[in-house]
Amino acid sequence: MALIRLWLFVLAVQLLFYVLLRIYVRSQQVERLEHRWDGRHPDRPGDSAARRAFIAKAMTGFEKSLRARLTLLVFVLPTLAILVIVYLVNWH
Amino acid sequence: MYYLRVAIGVLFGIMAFALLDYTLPSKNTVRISNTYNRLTSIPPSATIFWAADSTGTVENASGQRDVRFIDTVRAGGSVFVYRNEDTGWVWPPYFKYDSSNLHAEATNLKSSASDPIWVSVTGYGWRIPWMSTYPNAISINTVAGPDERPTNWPAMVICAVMLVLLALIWRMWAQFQERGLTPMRDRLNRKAK
Repeated sequence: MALIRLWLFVLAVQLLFYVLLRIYVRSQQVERLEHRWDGRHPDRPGDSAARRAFIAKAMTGFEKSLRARLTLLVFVLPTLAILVIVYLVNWH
Repeated sequence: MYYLRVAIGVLFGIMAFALLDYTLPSKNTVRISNTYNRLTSIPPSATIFWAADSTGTVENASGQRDVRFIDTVRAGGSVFVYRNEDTGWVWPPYFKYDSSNLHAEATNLKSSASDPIWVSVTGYGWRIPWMSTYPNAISINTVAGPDERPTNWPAMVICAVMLVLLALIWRMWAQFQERGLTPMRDRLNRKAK
């Protein structure tokens, strides 16, 4: 029973952190693209319809990039840490 | 208002430090003098310093619990008492369920003052005599002598991981402020004008 409770708790924290991390990584990528646009077009930096279109185009497929997929580690690392602690405490 | 903020900040700092001091593993080089179990009544005020009920602890009708204890003596001659309880899958996250094995190990390493076997006991918790709280022993390793103090790697690694997490959360909050809150505030300000 306690194990199920722990699992549910860890899953809830992981889900929350996954969503937040996803938003963060996306936001960073958008910022990077904005800077790239501004660097390429020194004559018209700042927000514009053309820049928005460029970013929307560049962001397609971002979900499949390595950087976006690495956020899935949020579900792997804590579980791994728990298993390591269980091993070190009980079998070492 | 300023002093209130400072006071709350200091209080929060002390509480965070106390929580870490209680839950992080610490190591002590000691000699085990006795191992036993004793029926112990746990006062309601001190229940948080004992294993949670859902770890499979059994209490008798009068609310007493059979708890394993490890008596130890430090190099200086002062004594230190550990309890040996499972933490199970509950807080703090040590996931310990080998208390019986640990007790057998401790009994095996029992030694007298004339022929001491020095061990390093890893545990967490506080010994507060007037509240009857005992640190919980996690593991026992033999060491060469009373002066040997093994490096507390686990606590260092946990602290490092928590610092990295804190830095990441701080970065995420800064990004949210820069990209989410500030533009929103600007839009609202422009609308208000």
